[in-house]
Amino acid sequence: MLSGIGVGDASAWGKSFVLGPKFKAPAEAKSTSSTDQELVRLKTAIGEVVESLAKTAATADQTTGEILNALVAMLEDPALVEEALVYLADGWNAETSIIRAMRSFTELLAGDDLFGERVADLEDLALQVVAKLTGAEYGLKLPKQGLIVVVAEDLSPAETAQFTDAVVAVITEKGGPTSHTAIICRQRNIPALVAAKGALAKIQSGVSLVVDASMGQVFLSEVPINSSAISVRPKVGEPIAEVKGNVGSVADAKDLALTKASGIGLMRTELLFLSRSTPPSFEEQSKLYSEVLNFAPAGEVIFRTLDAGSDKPLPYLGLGNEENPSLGVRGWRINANDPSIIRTQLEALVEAEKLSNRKVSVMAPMIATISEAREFADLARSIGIATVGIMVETPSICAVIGQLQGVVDFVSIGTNDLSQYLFAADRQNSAVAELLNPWQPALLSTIASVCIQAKAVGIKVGVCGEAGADPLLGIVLAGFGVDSVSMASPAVAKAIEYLSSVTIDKAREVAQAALSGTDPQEAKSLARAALG
Amino acid sequence: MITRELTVTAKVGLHARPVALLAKLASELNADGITVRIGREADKLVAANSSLRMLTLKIASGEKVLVELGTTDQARAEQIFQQVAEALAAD
Repeated sequence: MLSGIGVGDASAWGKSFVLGPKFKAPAEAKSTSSTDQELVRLKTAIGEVVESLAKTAATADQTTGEILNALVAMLEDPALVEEALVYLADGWNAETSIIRAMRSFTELLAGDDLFGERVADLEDLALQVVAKLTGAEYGLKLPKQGLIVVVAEDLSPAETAQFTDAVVAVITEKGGPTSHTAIICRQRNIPALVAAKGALAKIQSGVSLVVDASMGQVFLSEVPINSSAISVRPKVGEPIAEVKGNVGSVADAKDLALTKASGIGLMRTELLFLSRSTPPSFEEQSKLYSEVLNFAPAGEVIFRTLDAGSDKPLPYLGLGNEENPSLGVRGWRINANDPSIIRTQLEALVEAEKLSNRKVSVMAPMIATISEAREFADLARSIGIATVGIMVETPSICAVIGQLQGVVDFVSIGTNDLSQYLFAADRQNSAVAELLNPWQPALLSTIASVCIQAKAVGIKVGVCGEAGADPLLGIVLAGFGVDSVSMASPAVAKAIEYLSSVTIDKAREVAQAALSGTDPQEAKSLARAALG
Repeated sequence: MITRELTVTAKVGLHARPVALLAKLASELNADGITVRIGREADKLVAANSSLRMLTLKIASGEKVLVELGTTDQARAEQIFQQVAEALAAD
């Protein structure tokens, strides 16, 4: 009936509750009172909105609370009243002045992807102040009982903070995977569909619906389903692919050790390097790396060498501003500029091996050619690291995996960046989010091809991008021949459950089924059907 | 006035957390009688106690900024610049 981008993996049934049109500001008008009187009105209203937002923030969950507090800070910004004063002095009333003042800021922020996200928040804040000034109601008034599917054009953090326990699912016409709605719903385990074009035209209030976030679909259903996450799959054997964890710090390693993950598939080493003006010393690094090794669960531990550069700038790398940072000097490419950085990193890893009495594997990010792979492998082995690999993130390296024979021991597919480069779609741009859906057929067949080439020359294949965290996709990857999947701690248990619930032959069937899909939704439903 | 050039190393540029931290710092310094201004060029600095004004500068990660402090106390300024640098690197 309707499709969109699903947030989370759960489904829920409920009755639709379509939010009415947003509160509209009254027409612009001049005031009959003095500027000073209007200023007092404005400051009072701002103070009241700040108070109510702060109160909501205090009792909301952490994510919502943080967002609301950031909005409070913007409302308390001295520049807002300063700007409004310009219009007040011209005789405009408080309502008009705050809207115009806010607009002067949002106009400057709009059009820029990162900063543009704040525009909707700021406009919403201005409306809240105007509602306070005119004495109008500004709230959702959601029922407290029942099972409700909220349907809206989009939702502001202040609105999601007003969700009652009756809200079981959310559908928004706008938004994307990284919008406030998505972030908050994911945090609260509320299945949601965002960017669901046509939702408001197709859904009236009071209609019984199922929102299936995992499939990105909504359909009519008079019959309630069990609103729950995908049901538990019974075990038939050991996992058909190893499940490892992605970490970035000692704290992450400790969290991972509480799961049944077999070692670490990706240790992001940037932590020590960011937020400082000089590179971390050999001693600082070997200490951190050995601590990670001390706490990491048993199994292979793979460290990724520094993945920084123009898109994650470090002043001491001496790189200038680039036009296209994600296509520039990042990852392994910084080695040409200053070989000492990665060399010191590798030496610190060898020292960490001695300190922790555990072996280390290393891999380099952003490798695009066989020469680069060879350069890195030679360097790492000359320093004393036995197991060396590369990340597969560039389409170019996918085409020549066979030539890595004898050069590296393993490869690890970084599906997030691989998708970005394969589909020519910016990871930060929600407008092209669907292209980064890991079920995209072109990504699946690229991964399958990498596996075939790697197997033929005895190279192990891991997947450390987000794709591995999707339990069903994990089975597909194992079916392609992927040896290990690595993911954030919270996803480990489900992945192990799924990978232990099928034989490798079944996984191959599921993988083939997925490959015959011509779009992400088809690929996913064919895989699901084949799994049974 | 003491001015220094610093680099914004936070991943998001002069946005979100760095801006919030700077605004808070600047507010506290204002209460102490020290003004703080920031911007790309000396004749286009904005008050650092305002998140909104800082956001509209649209300074991206890796860019350099001028930070101007309303004090002649070198030691104090040094201390403040260190705090500002930390704010500009906050992720």
